Amino acid sequence: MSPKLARTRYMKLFIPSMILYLVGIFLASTERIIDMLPDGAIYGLVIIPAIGVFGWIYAQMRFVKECDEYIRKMQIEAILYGVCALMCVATVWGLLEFYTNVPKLPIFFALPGFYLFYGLAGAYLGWKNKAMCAML
Amino acid sequence: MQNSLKTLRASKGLSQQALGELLDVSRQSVNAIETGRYDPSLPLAFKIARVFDCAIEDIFTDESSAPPAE
Repeated sequence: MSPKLARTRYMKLFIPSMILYLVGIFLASTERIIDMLPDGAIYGLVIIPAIGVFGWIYAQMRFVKECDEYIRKMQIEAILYGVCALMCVATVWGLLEFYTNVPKLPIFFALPGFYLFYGLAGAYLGWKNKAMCAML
Repeated sequence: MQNSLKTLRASKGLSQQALGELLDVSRQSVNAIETGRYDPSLPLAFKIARVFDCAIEDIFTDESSAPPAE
C-alpha cells in the first residue's frame, strides 16, 4: 500500500475517533451532566471516550502495519520511547505515593501521558532522521 | 551498507518522490536509504533492483567489501 493511502486511511478513522473521545471526555467531566445521571448511566457514559481511544489506537496499529518499513521502524521506536518514559514515571511516582505525601495521580492520566511522551519521541526521531513530516 | 542508489536514481532522472512512488515507499524512506541511515529489507532491496534492472549487489555492498558498481 502506498504511504499516502495508508495515511489517508489512518486519518479517516483517527479524526472521528478523536472527536468521539473529546466529546466523551467533555460529557464525563461535566459535573452538571454527571449529577443528572443515575449511577448505572455513568458506567455507560465513561465507555464513550474508551470507544474513541480504541478507535484511534486501532487506526494507529493499522497505520503501523500499512506504512512503509522505514516509517514503521520510527513509529515503533517512538511508541517504545513513549511506553518506556510512561513506565519510568509510573514506577517513580507510584513508589513516591507509597512512601511520601506526593498527590495521588489518577490512572486516567496514563493515556495523555503516553501520548505526550510518544509525541515528543516522534518529533525527536523525525527531526533526527530528517523525516519530520512523515512522523506527524 | 553502502549503496549507489542516488547515482542510479539521478541517471534515470527520477526524484526521490518519484522513486518512492515506484517502490511504494515514502520520499523520506528513499532519502534515508540513499544517505545510509537505513538499510532496506530484502524484499525492498529486490524491488529497488527490479526498478533499475540490475542485481542487488550492483546497488548495495557490504562496507567491508568493494564499493558498489556505478
